[in-house]
Amino acid sequence: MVNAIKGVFVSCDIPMTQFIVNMNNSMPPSQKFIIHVLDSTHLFVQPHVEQMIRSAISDFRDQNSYEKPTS
Amino acid sequence: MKHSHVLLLLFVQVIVLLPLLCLSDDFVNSRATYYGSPDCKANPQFGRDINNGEVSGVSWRLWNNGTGCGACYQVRCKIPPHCSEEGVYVVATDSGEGDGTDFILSPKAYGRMARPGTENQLYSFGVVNVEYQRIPCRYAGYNLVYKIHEKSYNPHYLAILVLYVGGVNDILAVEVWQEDCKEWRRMRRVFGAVHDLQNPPRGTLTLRTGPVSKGIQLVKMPQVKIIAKNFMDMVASLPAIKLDKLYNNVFICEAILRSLPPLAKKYVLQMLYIDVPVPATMMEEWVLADGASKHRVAIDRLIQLRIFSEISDRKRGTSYSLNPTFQNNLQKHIISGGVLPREPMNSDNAIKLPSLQELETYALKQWECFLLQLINSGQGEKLTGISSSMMRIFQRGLLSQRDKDGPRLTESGFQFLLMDTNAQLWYIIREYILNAEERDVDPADLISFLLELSFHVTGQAYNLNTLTEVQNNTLKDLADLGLVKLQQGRKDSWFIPTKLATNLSVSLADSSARKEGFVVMETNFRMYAYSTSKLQCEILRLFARIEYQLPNLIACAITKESLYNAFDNGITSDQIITFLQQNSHPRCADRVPSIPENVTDQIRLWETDLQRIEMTQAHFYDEFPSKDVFEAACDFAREWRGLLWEDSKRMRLVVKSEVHNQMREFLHTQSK
Repeated sequence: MVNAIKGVFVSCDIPMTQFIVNMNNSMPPSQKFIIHVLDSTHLFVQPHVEQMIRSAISDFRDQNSYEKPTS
Repeated sequence: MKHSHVLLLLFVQVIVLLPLLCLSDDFVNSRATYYGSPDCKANPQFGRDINNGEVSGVSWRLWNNGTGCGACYQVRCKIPPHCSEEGVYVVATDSGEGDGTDFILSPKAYGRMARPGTENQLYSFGVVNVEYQRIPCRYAGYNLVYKIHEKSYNPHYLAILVLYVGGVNDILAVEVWQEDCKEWRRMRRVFGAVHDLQNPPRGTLTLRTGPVSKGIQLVKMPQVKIIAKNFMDMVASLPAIKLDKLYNNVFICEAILRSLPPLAKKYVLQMLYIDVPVPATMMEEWVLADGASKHRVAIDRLIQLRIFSEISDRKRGTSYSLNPTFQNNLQKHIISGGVLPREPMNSDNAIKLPSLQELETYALKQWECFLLQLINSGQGEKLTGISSSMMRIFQRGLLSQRDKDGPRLTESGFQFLLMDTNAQLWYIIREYILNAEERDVDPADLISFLLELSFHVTGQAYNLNTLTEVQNNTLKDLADLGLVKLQQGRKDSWFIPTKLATNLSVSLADSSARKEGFVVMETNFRMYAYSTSKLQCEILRLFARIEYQLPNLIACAITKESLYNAFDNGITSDQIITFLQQNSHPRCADRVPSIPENVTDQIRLWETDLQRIEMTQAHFYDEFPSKDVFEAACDFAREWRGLLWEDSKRMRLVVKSEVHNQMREFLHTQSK
């Protein structure tokens, strides 16, 4: 019988996929959120982590910016 | 193995794509040149058969990796003595990048932009400034036409060329139905509009283009706003009864006549004294074969405005006749000349008329005051006399009420600020008219008054006692917006229309109201704005970091943080770049490109950086009992536009959550 799982389908570029997979691996086993890695640009994750992924990506983006020291 | 059997047994299904009626894009500025030499205009290199040789190569931006092939544009040049108002309608058939040009026209198309007789001067320029807009393609009777490419004589290869795409749709991909595997196979896009396939299926071929699975939108359509983009479109969108009532006013008839495309004007004038309906075929004979597309555009516009009524007869086919009210009024107008209900007042009796310059500064000041109050409604004193209820109506789409911080600009509010003055004025007037009914004013009356106003002479005084009560009230509101100036004498009071009022019914060719630009953009991302206006400072603050402000200069810098701020507020990179281009200082505007490319590229890159990841609520299916059930489920999901991802080898499927319930029922019926 066909099995159905509810979740969130993530579509992004390859570096972002790796970033999310890495984030998943660094989590303790009870909090891992990737259900399936579909291919190099698509993932299927648990439903509640959408916001967490977005904030993690924007933190990553902020770390990449250079702020001139004011002193 | 006959290599022609693929071609013989070909059965191509032509999919009907709905053409869109109106676009929101205004004309975009650019440059255009031509290939070949003017002497060869009888034999262009390619595109000889398409659109009568009026074709163009387009820049990579419009070409969009091939999907822009086949798009239709109206291109017109901007040198008044040499350029025709209408320009030329071209189809994009190739990609090519000139020096800052978006279009490399065929010599024939390039010559079409010129006024008849002045083509040689236009050719001698080599490259000209133009403005263009995308328009729906119209090919008589067809929505979509394919051609089988000659190379398909090989039985193991099939290539098709998409020739005509009606409307404003871009074909992004074509798929072929494989009967044996029961699936759609995507064809490879070779170049432009050519798609090919190795080992095409035997027998009948079914092709399709359209929104398909995998979350990729196959038919990409530009954003369409149903809002009218100028006065004439609003008039056209009124219901039939109101429109007929409007035509009772002679000035409206004249204003609408002025706003028609040139061919439509000619038709109206030719039909003016003809009382019987004219068959459509006879009208088509009035134009040469090259003008067929312009003819269609003109007829559509006339029908939309209800100036032409179409009568379809089985025997004699369609014929057109002029709207009788319109016809009568125009005939009277031609004979007696347009007489305004009021005369300008004589300048000898104690009236001090302001000079045109003073009037213009007054109008600008009022308009800026109004805009500042619009966006800063929480703070500051009330600068204009517009009632707060009116202000709230204007602010409705632009500001959102937040309890804690006070009202904040919405996304459309930011976009509004970046538009040019005519567009802003039009937005405000449109809101004003649309609200007329709530204030017990008939919108048709308001429209006719505003159109009458546009026929007055700028700078002349007109007595207030010639107006009705309703018009008087409207005039007070218009004075606060800067459209008229009210003055009081000892006995009488009068109003003086400003340039803003007379520009209300601006027609196609009138682009004289271009303001002077004031922004100089440098390659090191610094921006210098030569302006003293507070409003312009506020606008720049939206997306740039203001470094310091001198008496006549604002120095700012575009940084990643300031742009992220703007993107958070809903402004897009295209809007910012268009704003900078439209407002660039005359010294920079002549340079091509007016904004350095590294700046525009970087702004776009920063925007795409924010959009790297896409998430959709979905369901994941696996453990299908058999391949057939899997294929059936795939097709079902595709039909419901819910298929996001599939893996045929391991039989796994991801479908959007909205479709999940239907999917579940479908699978239950399958398993029985």
